[in-house]
Amino acid sequence: MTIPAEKYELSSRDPDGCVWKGARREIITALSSGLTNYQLTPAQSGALVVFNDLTGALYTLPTPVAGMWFEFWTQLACTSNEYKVITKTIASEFILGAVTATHATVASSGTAYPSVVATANVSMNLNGTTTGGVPGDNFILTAISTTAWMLSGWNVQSGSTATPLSTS
Amino acid sequence: MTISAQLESISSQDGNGSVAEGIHREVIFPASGAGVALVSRQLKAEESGALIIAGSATGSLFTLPTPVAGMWFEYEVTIAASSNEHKVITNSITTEFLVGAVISASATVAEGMDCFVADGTANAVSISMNGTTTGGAVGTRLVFTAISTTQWFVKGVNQGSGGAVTDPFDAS
Repeated sequence: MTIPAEKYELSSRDPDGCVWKGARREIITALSSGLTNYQLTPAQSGALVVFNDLTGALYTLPTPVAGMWFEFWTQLACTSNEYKVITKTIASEFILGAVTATHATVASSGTAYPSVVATANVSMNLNGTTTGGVPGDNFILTAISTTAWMLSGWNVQSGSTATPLSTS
Repeated sequence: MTISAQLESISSQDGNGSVAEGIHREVIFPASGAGVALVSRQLKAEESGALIIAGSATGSLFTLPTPVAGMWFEYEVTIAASSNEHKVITNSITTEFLVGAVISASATVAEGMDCFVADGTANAVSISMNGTTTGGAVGTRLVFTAISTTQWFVKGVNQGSGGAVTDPFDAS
């Protein structure tokens, strides 16, 4: 059987659009713990991934197809390892965009950590303090091509501040 | 034939709601022509829910459709404008306005965060980002949601650089 590359379309194709009543999200929680990798799939696009493990978590994005998206939210700061999200093929799939970082413990704080070119950074790494991953941390990765994930969101940090983006 | 004002529903009509697993977004990413530089790209009602990419160094111009409550567009910048600006404007600036707020932060100014408000009147019919002080740097993400026939609720994070961030909302 040949699987069509074209996705099933939920729209009614009415030019006025359509409405999705009672819309709900898929929630992904506790599928990774510590350094054990969980491979996200295209079938999970649109899900909210919740970080809530004291030993951290590791999620690998699927091969990007434009329009896929995953949202990540920290419920509980990790105290060992880190919360990490990484592209599937780090030699050719990159993260582009920025997160706005704020300190949970410093007033009048706030800065931005950009990844300006889609040729370097391949992961988000939240250590529970300086690079974020404090409760409330929230970011979205949306595939905009076969090589780039668009990053946007909030990075809630404590202690000193550092970028959560990494090339590995 | 009478056209129903009621939009078609893609829901299962189940009283408990529905979930669309593996859902993908429509991505609107003009490479040239409408939506690039000063050439307006008129967004359509049927494109509601799409992700709009502003990805030209010569700026971009997107015009929202006439608002119908529930429509929404997400907007992200992948390349900062080095000429012109990245701009989103309502379809009819005398009757359709932006209401809400954006958080602006600068990648080059420590503790450089500020909040700018769109007041829902003729003072705010567009958001114009120059790639530096008024934002629109890479990573800017805004969401526009129609809440009535006259107002778009706007929220998001506007990434700036090069100095203290300033108000991106405009009356024209």
